[in-house]
Amino acid sequence: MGLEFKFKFKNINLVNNKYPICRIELNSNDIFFGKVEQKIVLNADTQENNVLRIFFENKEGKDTILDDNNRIKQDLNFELEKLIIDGIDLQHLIWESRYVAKDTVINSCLFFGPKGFWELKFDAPVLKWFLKTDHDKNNNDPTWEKDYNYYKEACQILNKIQIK
Amino acid sequence: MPDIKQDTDKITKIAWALMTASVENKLDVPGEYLWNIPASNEFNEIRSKTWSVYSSGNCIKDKNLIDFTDGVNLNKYLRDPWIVKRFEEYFPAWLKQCPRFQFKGIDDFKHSCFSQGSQEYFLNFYITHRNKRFRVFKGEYWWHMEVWKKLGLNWAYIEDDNLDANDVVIISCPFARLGDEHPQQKELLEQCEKIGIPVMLDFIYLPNATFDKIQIDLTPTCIKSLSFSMSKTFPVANARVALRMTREKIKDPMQISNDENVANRLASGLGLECMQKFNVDYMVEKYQIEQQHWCKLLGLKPTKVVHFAFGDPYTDMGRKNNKRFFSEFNDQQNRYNLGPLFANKLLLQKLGYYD
Repeated sequence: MGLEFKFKFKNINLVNNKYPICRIELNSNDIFFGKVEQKIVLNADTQENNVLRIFFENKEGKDTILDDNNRIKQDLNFELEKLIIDGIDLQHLIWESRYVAKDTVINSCLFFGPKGFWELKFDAPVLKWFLKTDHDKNNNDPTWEKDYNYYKEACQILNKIQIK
Repeated sequence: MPDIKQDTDKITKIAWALMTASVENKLDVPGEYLWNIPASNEFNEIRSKTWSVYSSGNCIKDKNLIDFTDGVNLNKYLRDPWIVKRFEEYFPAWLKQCPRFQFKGIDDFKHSCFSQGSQEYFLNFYITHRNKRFRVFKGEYWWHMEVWKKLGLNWAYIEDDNLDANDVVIISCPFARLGDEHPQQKELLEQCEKIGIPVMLDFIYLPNATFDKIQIDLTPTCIKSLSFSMSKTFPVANARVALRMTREKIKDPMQISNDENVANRLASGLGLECMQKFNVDYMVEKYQIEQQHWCKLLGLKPTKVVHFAFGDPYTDMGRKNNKRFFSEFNDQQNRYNLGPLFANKLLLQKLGYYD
């Protein structure tokens, strides 16, 4: 039984009834392929170090329609809004990612415009990674590791006992 | 006396275990206040609640008492016009039954008035003395300061200014933050007597006091009222069962309602039945040994209130995050409420934290 991944997408824009299609890959293994929906829920096995990628599979040049002034009139695109892994909402840490397109790498980009892929590296346990990364970034939670261990121990010992 | 080495690691583990158990519905006695019940098993939700596990002054959630109050038929009291009077008459007798309580001059406080929780007689005290300056020691029940601030009433800590004739004083005995008599109580009462400052003695923690003998001289005439409540004694806090005793009958809103016979009969009935079934110091008799056990195990120092102990500040992290529960004045510093440990003994035994 793997971990649950909940993806929330927003601003999913179609062009001529064409839907954006994505492929989600975890550690080089495909875990989803299909239409981008507002919500996609998956289960997948993780390792200690993980690379999660969301590929924008079906973007083509003709999916960007310009007006007479060369401004984009219609475009096939979408945005990643939220990612919850194993019940942990990554919140602002989804911005600790990058978007890799053909000729460019854009850090902290949740917008799927050009053909390419979004990539996030994370560790499991996800909560531990979340707390550490958050503290490393903001330096505002010096007791995160101790408290994480308390939490883990409490959950473990309570799971072992049968009450009532 | 050897130095006591506090086991903060174990104290913290227990706090996490209790709050996680609360979410999983595994506590022996579930929490009864939303501020102490995690809404989910999410890390930060449980973490924030662990800071308050030991911070309240609340009573021990004794299973026997809860079972007893669950079985009390309160409806019959709703139409009983004498129940409040019976409660008021029984309370002083119940109190005096405890051989350890030796109050000189208590019989002079012949007017008893049911109060809907200690907060009702406090409010009435505030109304009566609204043009005076309220004085308390630092560490007194935070609710006073919070209300005075919100209402714009004049107040000051006793430590911060001299007492004068326009002051009124409230002091808890045992003192709220210390779980013991305030070291300046005697001196304070002498000064109040000399200047003529009205004093309310708040005995909310008295039933849980472990002194071999509690000798209090109530003869100084500055002591105008004595306040008692069951909220910190028995798990009936939300029924609001309390009583005020005064030398003279005070014509304040609480007394007027009482005279009109519209005081809370359900609370009076519940309070009366608790008194008839349990001794005033039931918690001391039952839990003093638990207080000693936990203090030894966790490296804390017992106070003179059975469900409190002293140690290094635990809610330190919460305070660093400016998290004082409900009020900026709610600073329990190094006082620990051991009640949650007493109430969840079976669970903590199963988890291996008791021994």
